[in-house]
Amino acid sequence: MKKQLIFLLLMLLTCRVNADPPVFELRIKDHLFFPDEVVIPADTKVKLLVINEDPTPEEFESYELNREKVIPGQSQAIIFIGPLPAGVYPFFGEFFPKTAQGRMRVE
Amino acid sequence: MLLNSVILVLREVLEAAMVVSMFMAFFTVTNLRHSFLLRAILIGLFAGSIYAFNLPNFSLWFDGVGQEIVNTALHAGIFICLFAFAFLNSCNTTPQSGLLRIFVGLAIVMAISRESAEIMLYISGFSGMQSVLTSVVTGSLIGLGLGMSVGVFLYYLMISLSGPYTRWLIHVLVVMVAGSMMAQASQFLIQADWLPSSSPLWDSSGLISEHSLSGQLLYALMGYEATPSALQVIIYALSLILMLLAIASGCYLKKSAYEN
Repeated sequence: MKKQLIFLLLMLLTCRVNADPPVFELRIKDHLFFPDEVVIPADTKVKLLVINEDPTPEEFESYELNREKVIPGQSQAIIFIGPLPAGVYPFFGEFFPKTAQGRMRVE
Repeated sequence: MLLNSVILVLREVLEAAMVVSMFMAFFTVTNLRHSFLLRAILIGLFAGSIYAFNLPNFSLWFDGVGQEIVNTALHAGIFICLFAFAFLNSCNTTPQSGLLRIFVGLAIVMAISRESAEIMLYISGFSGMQSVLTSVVTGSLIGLGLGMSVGVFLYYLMISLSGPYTRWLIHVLVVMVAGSMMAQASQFLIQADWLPSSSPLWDSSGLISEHSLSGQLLYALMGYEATPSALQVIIYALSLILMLLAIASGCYLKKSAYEN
């Protein structure tokens, strides 16, 4: 019983270590998202690396993903997303919403 | 650009305007000095500029989630101040305004710093773009004016009621805003991966969309989310219960003080 418990604990620990989420890259250039559609796996937590190449700050915002984060000019930021059920989740740049539009396709 | 600026600034100002107007109304109807409120607003703006200026640095803290942690701390800080306010205000037989003023002042400084920092960051982004700067500044001023008008309207609405009703209404608002603060704090911790993320508990976007005006107003008033996770709902409910407990225990203390 004790051995089983230790085994279970070790399993949980390794799960935690191995659970480094996959990284997906999103660039902001000339107030546009590249790519404008990011495809991520369903039911999986992912790490979105947003690289802002513009000199101006931008706010990554999505009501559907419940995410908001300011990314200063010429810097990068990490946003954890999911696990999500399959579907399309739009996001936008709150500072330049006319051009900065994108979506997350979860499949 | 003009309309975007109006909407963005209005959204930020609404939340802060509501907090300031409800406290202003409270200090007016209780006949307590409230000149410190202006000072708190100015300190809040100063703190906001420090936040905006240092954002690139503290965003890198905690493996790149520093921004979420600072925002969580600000929201949780406002919650603590509102909690203390609710307790002190309910248990005071004779209003001891010193402590109340400290907590209210701190809440205003934190609320204004966070909201103003985003506006400053937004406008600063256009500083080199002369072609659009005018419309951005004009739009921002319109947004600021609209947000402040809502605050003034709320203030007069609250003080136009008779004393006990105003205090009752302010308590309701304080409880709602406090719940909203903790809901937002938990959202930032989930985004930072410090709290586990899960599928939404429900989806009410068909009923009230977060994109709509009513959704935005509800967000400012009570932190409305169309797709909250179970953890968020639990934290929201717990913070409401905590606030009600603060008020109830304050009232109990007041009653026992009267009886003795």
